Amino acid sequence: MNKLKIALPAFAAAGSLVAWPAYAHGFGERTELPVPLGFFLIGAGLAVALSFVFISVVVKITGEASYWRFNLTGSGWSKAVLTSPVVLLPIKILSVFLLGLVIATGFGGEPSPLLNFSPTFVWIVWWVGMAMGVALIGNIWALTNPWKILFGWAEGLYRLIRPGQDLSLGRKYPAKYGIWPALVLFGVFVWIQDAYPKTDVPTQIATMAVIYSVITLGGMAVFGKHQWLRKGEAFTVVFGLLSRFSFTEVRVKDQETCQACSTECRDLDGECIDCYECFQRSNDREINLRPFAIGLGRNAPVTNDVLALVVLLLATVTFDGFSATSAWAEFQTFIVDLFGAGGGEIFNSLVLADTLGVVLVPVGFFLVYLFFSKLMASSVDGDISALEMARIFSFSLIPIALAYNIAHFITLLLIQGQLIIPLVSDPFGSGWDLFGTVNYSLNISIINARILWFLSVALIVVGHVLAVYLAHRVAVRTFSSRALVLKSQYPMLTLMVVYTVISLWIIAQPIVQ
Amino acid sequence: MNIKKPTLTALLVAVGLIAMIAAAACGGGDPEELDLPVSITGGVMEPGTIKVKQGDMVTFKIQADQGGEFHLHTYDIEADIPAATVTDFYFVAEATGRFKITYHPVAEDGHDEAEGHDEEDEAGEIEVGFLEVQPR
Repeated sequence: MNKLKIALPAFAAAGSLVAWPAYAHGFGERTELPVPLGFFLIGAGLAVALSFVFISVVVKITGEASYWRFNLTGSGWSKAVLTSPVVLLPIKILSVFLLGLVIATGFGGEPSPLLNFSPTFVWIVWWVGMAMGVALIGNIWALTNPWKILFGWAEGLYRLIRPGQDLSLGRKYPAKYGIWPALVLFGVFVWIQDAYPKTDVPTQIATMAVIYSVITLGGMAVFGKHQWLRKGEAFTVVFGLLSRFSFTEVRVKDQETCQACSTECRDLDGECIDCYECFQRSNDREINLRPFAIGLGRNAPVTNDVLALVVLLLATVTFDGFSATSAWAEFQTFIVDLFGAGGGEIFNSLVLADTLGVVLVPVGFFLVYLFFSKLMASSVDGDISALEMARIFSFSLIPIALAYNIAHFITLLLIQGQLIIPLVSDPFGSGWDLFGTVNYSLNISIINARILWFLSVALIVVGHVLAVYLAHRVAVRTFSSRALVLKSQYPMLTLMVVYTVISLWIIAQPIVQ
Repeated sequence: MNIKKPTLTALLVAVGLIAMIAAAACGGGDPEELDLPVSITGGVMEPGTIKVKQGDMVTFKIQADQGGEFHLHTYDIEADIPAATVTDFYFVAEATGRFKITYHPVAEDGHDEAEGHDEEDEAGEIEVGFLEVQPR
């Protein structure tokens, strides 16, 4: 039997006849089959059963801050690799080059999304790939962030020309603004991904990249590199949050540097973890392996802005999948019927429906979470408010969202992601063949549906168990007695089961758009 | 019976995983040669979702009230369908998944006919349905 593969030149041939449909949700066609009922039921059943077994009988979790670590920079080849400029500099140059290439191909390349480097690179390789990479491996974004690198280079140059002076104005960032700027920028990004109808148009992508570059470089120039990265650079904040799940961390050992470089880097246990500003300045530092998810259980204060980001992130991940189901299509039809099908290319009823989703799903999510937090607060009848409950337990929900996110996007990454192979040879769509890969045909049977179902359900169940574990750790740290720990966890467990089952339900729905 | 507590968790996980593996392993059978009638009338495909199994050698017998281009996405196979006759569209369903099918009606004089249709995009491609290839 022949393996059926996509021949990319076919796109070119078809290009003149078939204009490609605009994809509402980022870019790239989703092709996975819905998870069958049996898998859904087993997954849901396991989530419920494991939750209650876990809480009622099994675990003796201590609230202790220490956990298993292995120092990669202690000695040997791993230290040499991780600290060598010979390794790091080319990565940085490549990253800056890729940002430039996105802008250049976006403006100067073939307008057809599939023949242009920028849509596939930005939406699939970078956004989907980077989110999974930082969550599973570690904070690669801290190393490859092109704006951070560019600004660092500019600063270095400036100091050469005018010794003793700083490129940035070094304005003090008003503490009350927290990470709200990053949150707003991320909100706009989410809206673009899920509602904006022209996400796959190369010139639009390049325009967005330029606008975001101006904002980010400007922010760093005004408030200083690290302040803006921590408060205003949406992706540093979002990827930083996701990377807490990963099995690597950077850690500053000497307490003095940790305290001197920034007041915000030390957590309540006095540890200085994943703080890149301190890491850069310190001489006594480590890059460690650690258990998955443990970084989400750190004893650090969570403020309202961080809670808002977590809620937005969780809701977004869920909405991205939900918006591809027929239930959402029905809602869209309802809105279109209500307001008429007219309107412009951007301001029309369909975009209105998706915009409502982008705004209302996080709000609804927050209200539900707050309701369960209220239950927790009243079940321990202490003086902790519902909002405080919501804050301290928020990170523990992240593993469920992450597991679901991987299940949701892995097919897209594995199949549509292959488009980048021919595109690197001909990024502008102008007939080049730089690496001889322009005729690469996609292997569309790279992952079998059955393996995918198994993987998806297993991941979501594991994510659920990790979430339960993290919440339990926080409870042990927060409440004085075992009885209170248990009482507080019943509402949380219920919420987690609901969230997990919704995630499973979504992957059991056929994708309609 | 006195099952130790951690053993119980392990047991539950094991049972669940075995159940899933069992669910994953069932099915089977040999690939078939399938002839499937597909009609496109007024921009609506019948059946809306075509279901086959992995490895099947499939021929869609396509009949359309209006000539146009039939496009199976991701497999990326296209065919010109003349109006009112049955056209064979053959492929081997190697890859599992759910794949979009679009139809782009073209009138005799070469003008797009789909303008103003609800689901069409700018180019006149209409989403008419899906091909589902289930694992064997």
